[in-house]
Amino acid sequence: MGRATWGSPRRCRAIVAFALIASTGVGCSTEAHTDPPDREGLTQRLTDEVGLTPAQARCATSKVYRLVDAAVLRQVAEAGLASVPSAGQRPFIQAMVACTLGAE
Amino acid sequence: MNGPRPNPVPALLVAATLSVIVVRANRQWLQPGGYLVVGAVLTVLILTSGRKISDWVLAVTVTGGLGAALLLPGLTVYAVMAVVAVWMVVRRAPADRRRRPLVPQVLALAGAAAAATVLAATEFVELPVAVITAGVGVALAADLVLVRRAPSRLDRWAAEREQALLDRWAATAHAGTPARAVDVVAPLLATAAAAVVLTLLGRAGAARVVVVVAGLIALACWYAPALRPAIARGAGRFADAVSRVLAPVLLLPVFVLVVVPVALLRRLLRRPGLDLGWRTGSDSYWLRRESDQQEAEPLDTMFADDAAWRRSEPASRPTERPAGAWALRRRSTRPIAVALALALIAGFVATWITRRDPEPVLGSASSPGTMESAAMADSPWRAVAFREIGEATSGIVYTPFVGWSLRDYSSRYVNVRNRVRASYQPQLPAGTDPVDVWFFGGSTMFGYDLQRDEHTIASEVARLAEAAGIPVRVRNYGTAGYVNYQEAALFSLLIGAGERPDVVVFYDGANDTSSALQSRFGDLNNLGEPGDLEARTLREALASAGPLPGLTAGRPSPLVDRPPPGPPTATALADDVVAVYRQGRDQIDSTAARVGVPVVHFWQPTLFTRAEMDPGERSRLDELIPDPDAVAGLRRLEQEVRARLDPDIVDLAAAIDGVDGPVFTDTVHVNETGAAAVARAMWSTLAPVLDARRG
Repeated sequence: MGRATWGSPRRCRAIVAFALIASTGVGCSTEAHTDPPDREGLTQRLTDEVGLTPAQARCATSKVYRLVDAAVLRQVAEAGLASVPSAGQRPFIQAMVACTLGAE
Repeated sequence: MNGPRPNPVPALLVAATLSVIVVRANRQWLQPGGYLVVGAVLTVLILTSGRKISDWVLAVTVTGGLGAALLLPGLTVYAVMAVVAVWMVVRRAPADRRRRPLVPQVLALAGAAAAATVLAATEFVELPVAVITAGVGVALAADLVLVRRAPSRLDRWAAEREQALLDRWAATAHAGTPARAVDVVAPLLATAAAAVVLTLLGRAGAARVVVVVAGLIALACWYAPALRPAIARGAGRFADAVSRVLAPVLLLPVFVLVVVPVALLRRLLRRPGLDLGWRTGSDSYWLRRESDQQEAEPLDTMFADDAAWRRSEPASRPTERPAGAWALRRRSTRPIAVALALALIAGFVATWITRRDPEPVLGSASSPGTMESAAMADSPWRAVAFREIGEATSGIVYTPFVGWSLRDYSSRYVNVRNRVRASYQPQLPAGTDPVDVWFFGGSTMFGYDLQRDEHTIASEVARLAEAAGIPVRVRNYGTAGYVNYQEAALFSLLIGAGERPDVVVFYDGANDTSSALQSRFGDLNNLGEPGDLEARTLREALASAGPLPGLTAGRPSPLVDRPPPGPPTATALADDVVAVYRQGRDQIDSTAARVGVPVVHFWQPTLFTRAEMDPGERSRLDELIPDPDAVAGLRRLEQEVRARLDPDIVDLAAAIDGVDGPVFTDTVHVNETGAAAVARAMWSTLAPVLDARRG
């Protein structure tokens, strides 16, 4: 085999194959490609932003971790609940209601 | 070797474009299964077909990309931000007065430079590619740091789609739903299809590898569902890194809006731009010059022959087209077209098999699953009414002082004119002066989920009045999402316009409570102040509209300073709900008193106040609010609010209690049986008021 040059079948195939395989993999990642944020960060956010007690915030964090995707959790932890559309807020509000009003 | 001068750009551009197409198409149009087939078949095709990459592809892609960069706001932003990012790094200046750290930009730029250096140092790429890589790195830095803070319309659209996927996923896979058979069968089918294609193409070994790997993964996922997210996350991390490079640079619109139309046009004009040849035995895909001694032709004259051929008179053209870069070879397009068609069919079949909940029509239902709820099971017209209500309520228009209102709409079951939903109107003898009754409220008064025009609360009150011999003419001003204060504003506007009812009815509670909850927990509006449920949506729409510089999507400054709220309690929230409600009610009463119109205020029932839920309603509640602690909290809040209502507010908490069977389609909306029950509960209060106003 000679040295691969640009324009040679071997080189072109390698480039296209890598790009396609990688991008195909992206299709797999539409639903789970973000690590969840640190629980403490989210708990602190709920404490600071909403005024929950640390116990209430931990309770709410624990609930939403079971229900909400990591990307949304991360967004809330980093930018606050107001950065999430109303539909995305619903599980957070339900969790906070459960851990505040529901725990009275 | 004096072969054709190598040029890496076309291969990179085509590969990147195809990648973005696959990525975007997978994300938006295909579900798991589809992308496996499409991606695998595309890969196999390109690896085995030996297609020649035409200079036309390069020309169209580059010019199209440049054109799109000028036209698409997102790409333009990327370009501008890339320059800004470089400037920021070079100048070492803070991005703004808040002294945003420069670490991300520096790291991204350094990483890109390092990657470019490494790539350039190896023989893998030439200098232009290294420069492109560095540019991508800078664009990424800008994307990470700046663009995401000011998302373009395209980004916003993508984010909404992503959010919809996330919501759907959270409602299924993350809710602990065990793996279903189709979750495994569909990928296996897709894998089998890919294996068949591979085998047909003479790649039996690759087919075996694909089958074995996919089978192992599928079996592992089947027996250990916990592996599913781990596998997906692992593949996703790798793929996401690639997509972050490719997606911002070349987007699907470049292909769809530029390449495809141009290609179609050229085909229609019989000027195909691709020379698709099977040259697996060749050492190069590039056209060899007829003479190796020939000097490289400058780009501006490269296509002179083709241009001259096009300019020539058709009659004088040679019958055989020149063997140029654009010459089409039909024998090579046929198998590719067949394979792509098969891939698409397989993808859509896989998508159909793996489909989950259907998308709600127009996304306008108050909550998913209304149409399938037990309360609607005996209503054969529900699908039509659901669609019509969706169309009517998705046609809202911004309206000063009330936020939004409905446009005129006409259909079989839902009709709106002058912001009034059609109602049952009793036949009146000629010369009768009816009692004009106006009804205000939110979606529950409108009859949102799901009542037909003639079976809303207003219509049912009209029937009761007819049966009692009281001539009435009703107007249903119920509007989805309205809180009491918006109704007060609408009432005031109507009175200001010279309209005069004989009695006005207000039916509130659910939206007012929801508004307080979202303000307290979700920062929707200022606590203690009237605010509507769509405030955030409207603020964001205004902020992204463009013509009004300086607008932000943030909450406005409070009217008055208030002490920061303590930890949320049911009593504190109930106090807030009632205090805000009282502000609207006072406005209404003042306006009504000024024109001498009696007012009746009702506080609506909800599923939380139902004495005994029907099993269908219980199931629906579990579906909507699976956490029993949250249900307990909301029920407690309801009780606290009702306990604080002023004595002149008629509490209809028990209105539904005597009704057998499922009535609630979610936690607040009722079916037509429920609307009739609410009307009956209202009637004991309304009858004497209406009777006193009859002429």
